[in-house]
Amino acid sequence: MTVTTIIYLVIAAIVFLSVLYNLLTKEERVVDKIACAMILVPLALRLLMIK
Amino acid sequence: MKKKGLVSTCIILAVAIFMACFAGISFYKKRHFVEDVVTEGSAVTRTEKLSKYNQYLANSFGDVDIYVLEGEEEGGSVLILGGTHANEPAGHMAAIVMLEQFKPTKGTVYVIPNICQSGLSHNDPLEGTPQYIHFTTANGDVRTFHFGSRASNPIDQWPDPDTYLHTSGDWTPRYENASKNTTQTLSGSEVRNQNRCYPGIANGTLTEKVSYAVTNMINTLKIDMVIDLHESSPEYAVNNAIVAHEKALEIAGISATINLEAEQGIKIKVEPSPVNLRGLTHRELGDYTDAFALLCEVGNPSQGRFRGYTDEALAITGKDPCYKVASEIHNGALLYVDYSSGDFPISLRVARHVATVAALIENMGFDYPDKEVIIDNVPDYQEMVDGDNLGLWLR
Repeated sequence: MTVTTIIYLVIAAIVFLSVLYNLLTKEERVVDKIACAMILVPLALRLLMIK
Repeated sequence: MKKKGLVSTCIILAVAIFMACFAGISFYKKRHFVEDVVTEGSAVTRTEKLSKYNQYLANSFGDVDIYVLEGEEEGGSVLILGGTHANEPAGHMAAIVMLEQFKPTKGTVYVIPNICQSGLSHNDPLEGTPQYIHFTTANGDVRTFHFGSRASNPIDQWPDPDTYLHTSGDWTPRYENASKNTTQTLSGSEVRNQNRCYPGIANGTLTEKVSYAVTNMINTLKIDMVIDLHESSPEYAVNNAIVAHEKALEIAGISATINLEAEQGIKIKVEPSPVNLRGLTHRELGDYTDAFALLCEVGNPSQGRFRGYTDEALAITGKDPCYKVASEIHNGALLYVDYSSGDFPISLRVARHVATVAALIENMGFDYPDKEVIIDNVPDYQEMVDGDNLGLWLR
């Protein structure tokens, strides 16, 4: 795994945690929560390096 | 958070976790699925690892098997590459049929059916292509093979650059008229295209490492001919064709006109390898090795942009109503293959590859007797086409 890949994984992790935080604490409308969840799925797979 | 809001959040999160697990398990299984190549009863005398020719590949996803078929009599040598683009199943399957059926009596045949194993381990997003294709053999066994992506898996080399700068690394051309233009810029995702990364870089990306190993293998073993098996969209101009490096044009021309078209009725074009299109097997392996470098193309509706519903049946039968319509517009001028029959089955596509490879090998021996390779048990083109079941040619 290259340094660039690790940096991108860190960025993906930050985005994942931010979206999860929004889903759990900020979003009130159901559609916004669903949008958050749909963003989380591919981010989680990429963090686990599953493709 | 209100109780109602908490409940909906939990439900949505649970669904997301389920979707991630469902997709993740499917992707993980595909990534680690191992195809069963049957060497028992075949002419395979030994196998080698590709990392033998590039130490940086050791224990990586690109460290694939090289199947070696040695004849009793010494002669020339041929390397057959399948699976360069893993969404072109006839190239992958033709290499498997050849390694399971060919019986060389003179010379050596090297076969790598899954040269881009990383590409076979995933699918292109949003294309709706199948993950696997299946064939039933003569004894009733069902064998499963990958249907993959045109490019290497991004988890093997992520992220892609904005622009892919192709270079020839530290290689020195062996062909006196090799192109002086040794750099080229392409779209960033092409960095994962196996057929844009030759001659390769020893410690580059996974795709470049694999390319380096192939180039080094050809130079180390002094292989006389390399044939890369592909498929192309029916609307793509280079179709049902042999693309040949300048050194191999004569062999390709005679094979196409005499062995294939005149003797077997197989219409096939010969295209010269473009001098300034870098990174491709037929260009770089011709410039940077002493081998005759050739690439074979055959039409594949399952990868074309006109196609309709995409599934395993389309990949195997090549039956597509959208291509049928396209073939009837302007007398078929939109397509570069004859699609009037309404199908283009994989048995036909593989048969074309097998017949073409056999013709090219035969003509190399005719023109250069010291490089002769004689192969028995070559599947008959017409029998493969008439049988319409590729499984009959698998062990």
